[in-house]
Amino acid sequence: MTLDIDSPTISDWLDGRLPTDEADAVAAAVRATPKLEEAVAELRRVKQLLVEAGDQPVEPSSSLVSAVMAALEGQPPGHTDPFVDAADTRPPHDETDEQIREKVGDEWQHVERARVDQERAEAIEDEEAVREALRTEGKSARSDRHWLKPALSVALAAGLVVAVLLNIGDQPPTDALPELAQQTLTADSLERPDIDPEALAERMIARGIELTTGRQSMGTLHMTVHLGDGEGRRQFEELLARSRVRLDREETMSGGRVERIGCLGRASEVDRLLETLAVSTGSVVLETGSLSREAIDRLERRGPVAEPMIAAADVEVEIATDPQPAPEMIAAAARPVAPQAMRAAAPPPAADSGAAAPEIAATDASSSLPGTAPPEALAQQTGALALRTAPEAAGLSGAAADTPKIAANARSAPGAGSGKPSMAASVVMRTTDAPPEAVEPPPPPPQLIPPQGYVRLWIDIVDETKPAAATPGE
Amino acid sequence: MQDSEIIERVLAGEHAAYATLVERHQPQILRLLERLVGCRETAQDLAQEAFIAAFRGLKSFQQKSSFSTWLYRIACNKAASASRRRRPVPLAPTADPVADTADVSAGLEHADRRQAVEQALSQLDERYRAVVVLADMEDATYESIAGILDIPVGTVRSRLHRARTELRERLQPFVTAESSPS
Repeated sequence: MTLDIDSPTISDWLDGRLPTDEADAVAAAVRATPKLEEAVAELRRVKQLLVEAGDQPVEPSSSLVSAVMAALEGQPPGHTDPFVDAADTRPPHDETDEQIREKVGDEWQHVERARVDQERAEAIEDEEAVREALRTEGKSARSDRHWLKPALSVALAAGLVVAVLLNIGDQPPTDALPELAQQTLTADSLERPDIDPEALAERMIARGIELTTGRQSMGTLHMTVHLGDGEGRRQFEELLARSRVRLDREETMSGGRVERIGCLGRASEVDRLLETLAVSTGSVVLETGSLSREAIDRLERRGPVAEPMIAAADVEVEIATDPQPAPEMIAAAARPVAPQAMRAAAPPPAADSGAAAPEIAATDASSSLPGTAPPEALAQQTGALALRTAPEAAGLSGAAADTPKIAANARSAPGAGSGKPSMAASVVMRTTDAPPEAVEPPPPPPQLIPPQGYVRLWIDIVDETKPAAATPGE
Repeated sequence: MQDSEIIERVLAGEHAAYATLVERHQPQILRLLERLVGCRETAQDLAQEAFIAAFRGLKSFQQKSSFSTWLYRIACNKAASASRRRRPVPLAPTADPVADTADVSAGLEHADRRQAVEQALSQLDERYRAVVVLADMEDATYESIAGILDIPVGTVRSRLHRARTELRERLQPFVTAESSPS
């Protein structure tokens, strides 16, 4: 038997969980390798230290019983409370220990071996991805300094990357496309009358450019989060910590009021983070990634559904969520954005194309929104944004748990480049109803191209409790 | 009186009976939480939250496992949430655990060892911490840990070994100086 110290079989052996013959084999393998024997002895000592520490008595609390009973006064069991994490009280496995043992047998050893191998492979893959990202950054920087610089500098100086993309639409593909493609589009550029978002979408997709939060991203997302108080910060940081995106950049701007962090994560993980942020803050996000299975099921019951498409490009959506947003407020906030988003998403269905009309998902919105506006009406009010009630934010408590959970999904019919992944949306989330203060926008984040399948996410965290830095001339 | 009988009485409307359950289980829950979060005050707060959550979820508790197992699970979830809140954004690199303990010479007193163990535990990923605390400090079986944490037994096994391996590195001054070969 060949063993190394990373094998869980060592712990099985230390815990006396192996059958005699296997235990003997492990013992022999350990004895045969002095280095392993030493490591195993150290593991045994670790276990001993833990047991010793576990033997220390912990004083019971004299006030706990009274505190609990006081808190529960007048509440029957089963009393629902938005501050309670429902997941906390899920019953554990129904099976007894014996039943579990019977069921799993030795099979888990094989399963677990495969899982550990997979975890190792993923860890290696992650490391390689980061290394690749760093290499790409260096390459990008060199490119900026040399042959790519003229093209990029023109685009950046004008601040109209959309225009650049349109211009290059008539040129043969070059290696510069990825760099150009991941430049952030601005809301201003979308509002330019001379830019046709539909054509933009077609051109981009035709040229294989996928700014996406989907599976093959080479995009960079830029998100702004406004934190109105300490609670907002706590919740945001908690959500970020739960996600699996890797934080690798940090910068403070605007006199400490804006903190910019850079993250790199798999596209799916960034997708999930964005959705979770939107759901948990009760704000509206233009979600262009994959929908939940439940949402797709609902949509399918409503008729043919197309793949999510480009929804918005760096469009900021701000919805005040506290105490309760009126439908009119949502509509007012979303209306300027949604038509742009939907125009970018798909062209109006031509009479002879057979394309379906843009799909609108609006379900359960009435259950979480005040007022009596029917969901469909509300969806239409918001300019064909689809509203859906997101699931309860697990693990959250405090004000956010009370706020309506709404996410907006822009859906489209098959149209320009149907089936392609969607484009990144910029998101502004606000956890309080404090009016936004005028603030000098921070400089655009550096454009670092993430490796295939990964997304670079820049998050500007604006601390609304700090005064805005005085702008020149004030 | 068995836990199940008390639960029936609570569900029947005798809410005051719940105090007996709290009284009965609070030492274990407090001990577990204190080991998981490493802070007495936080552990007390979380224990209170756990008992309140359990009371509110009592109707959904089907008694297919023991009340204490269920309560352990709630407590572990509370500890995990608290841990995430406490260490939100890993923007700065964490301190080198070996360096932290490197200046602590071998052969220290019992209290020092305990402190080193607590510190090393606090630096573990919460997933590994919960498993190793339950297994080695609470003496729970792999199967019951699987039930408490709602993970497969195989995952318990691999996490436990990973936790011990990491602790071995973090506690080098203690495990090398005093351990003896098997």
